[in-house]
Amino acid sequence: MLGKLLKYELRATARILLPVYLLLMVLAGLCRLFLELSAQYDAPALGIFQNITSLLFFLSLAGVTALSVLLMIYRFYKNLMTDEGYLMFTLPVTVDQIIWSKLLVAELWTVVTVAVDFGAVALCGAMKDLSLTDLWAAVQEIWTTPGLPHGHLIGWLAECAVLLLLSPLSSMLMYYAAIAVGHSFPNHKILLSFAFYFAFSVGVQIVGSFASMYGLIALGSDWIITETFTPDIPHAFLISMICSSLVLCAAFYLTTRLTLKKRLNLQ
Amino acid sequence: MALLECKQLTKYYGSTPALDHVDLAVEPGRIVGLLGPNGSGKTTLLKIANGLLVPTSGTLTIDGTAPGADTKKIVSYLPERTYLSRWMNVVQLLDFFCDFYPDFDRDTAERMLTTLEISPDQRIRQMSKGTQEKVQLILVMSRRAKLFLLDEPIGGVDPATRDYIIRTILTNYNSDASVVISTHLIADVENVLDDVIFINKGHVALQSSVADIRAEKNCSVDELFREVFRYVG
Repeated sequence: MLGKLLKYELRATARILLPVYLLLMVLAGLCRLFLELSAQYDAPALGIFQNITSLLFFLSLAGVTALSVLLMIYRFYKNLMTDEGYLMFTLPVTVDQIIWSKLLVAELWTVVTVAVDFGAVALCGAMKDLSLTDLWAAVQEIWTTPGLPHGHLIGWLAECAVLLLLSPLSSMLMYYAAIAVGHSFPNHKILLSFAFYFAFSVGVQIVGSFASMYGLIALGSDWIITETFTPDIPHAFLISMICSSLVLCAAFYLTTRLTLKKRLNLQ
Repeated sequence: MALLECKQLTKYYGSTPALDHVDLAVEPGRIVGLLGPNGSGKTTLLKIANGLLVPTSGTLTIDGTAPGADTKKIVSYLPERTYLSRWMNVVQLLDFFCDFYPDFDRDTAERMLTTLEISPDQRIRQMSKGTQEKVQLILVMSRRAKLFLLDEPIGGVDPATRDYIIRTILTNYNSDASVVISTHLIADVENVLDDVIFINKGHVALQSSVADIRAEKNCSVDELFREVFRYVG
């Protein structure tokens, strides 16, 4: 049943996001066109068009990224907390499957949005001076530096990748938990959702500050005192960040799950 | 075994009781009217049966099981709200119901849509509220479910559609299935009911068969309802 939920969630979100991505690419193409034309022909009008399309493009770039996040939050609210919830919560599926379907689709679109953003920037010509051959040569040069801890480097990159993938999950789950808890009350549901989001953010900041302070003292004290850097220090730091993200994901997932199971309160 | 059974079922909203120690049972093959004035607890009872609310105390079981993913396979629920996604068209909704409910009979649904002259390509957002309610009812009644829970199915439609809906309910359930119709429009459904449950302020005021009411009280369900729920003033 998770597969079917994913199919419909993808369909509901793709119908908005795909045209938006297309629009962004068209703007990037126009941006590139006027950039090339104004480089070849000395016409003031072309310069003006280039500036306008560049401005529109970079505004759209920020807009698409914001839209993809807002759409995922809106989908959770609209599909589960309003009248549509009467259908979703009476389907023969579990609450876990419902949450995972929203979460996995949100994660997928986050990755796609980042890829589309990069693609659009490359297309618009902002990176036209960047040669892939030069970039690859630079990577190879770094890689062949004598004494480089290759194993650790791969490990650090892998840990960074895991962290980058976990980060949208924990953010999205915090939104879900705030909306679910806010809507479990009889009145002022949206206002309470904002209040809970604010409360959760403050809580995460406080706990995060203590955790980083502890991490810095526990992991970095040797480095500071003895001034000896070991490859284990970044590992320990990144792994502690991954663990913090996982704890946040688990806490917000369980809050959302428990609220939707035990305190669901559709109007 | 009763298809739907409540034992001492209680639900409080804050300090206000919506259901107060309710005991009732719905046997297979019956059409039951869940009758009561607005705010009597009918919707709360149906929401608990569908897992949309958790009781404060007591139990509700469907075919011996507490509401969950398994009971939702055998229950077809029509809420009083329109729950259809407004961006979908009718065909997409039929696909959706086919995907999630193995007991969904697409041919029956398409036949009913044709009868009511609803175009399969029409989007929900282009429909009037009445048409949206008809589509929702068609989707719900096209399942071969064991238990139909219908919350105010005839509340917002014209009398001609009301007759069609009642005929649809009668012709679209099999003899082993039960139908619970929550309504306060008793005269319209009285003739199709086997049993009635009167509910008032969270209490079951009466549970009886319609035949017994007519034989023992010598009155119609509508008359008895007016008698039981008469405001003294």
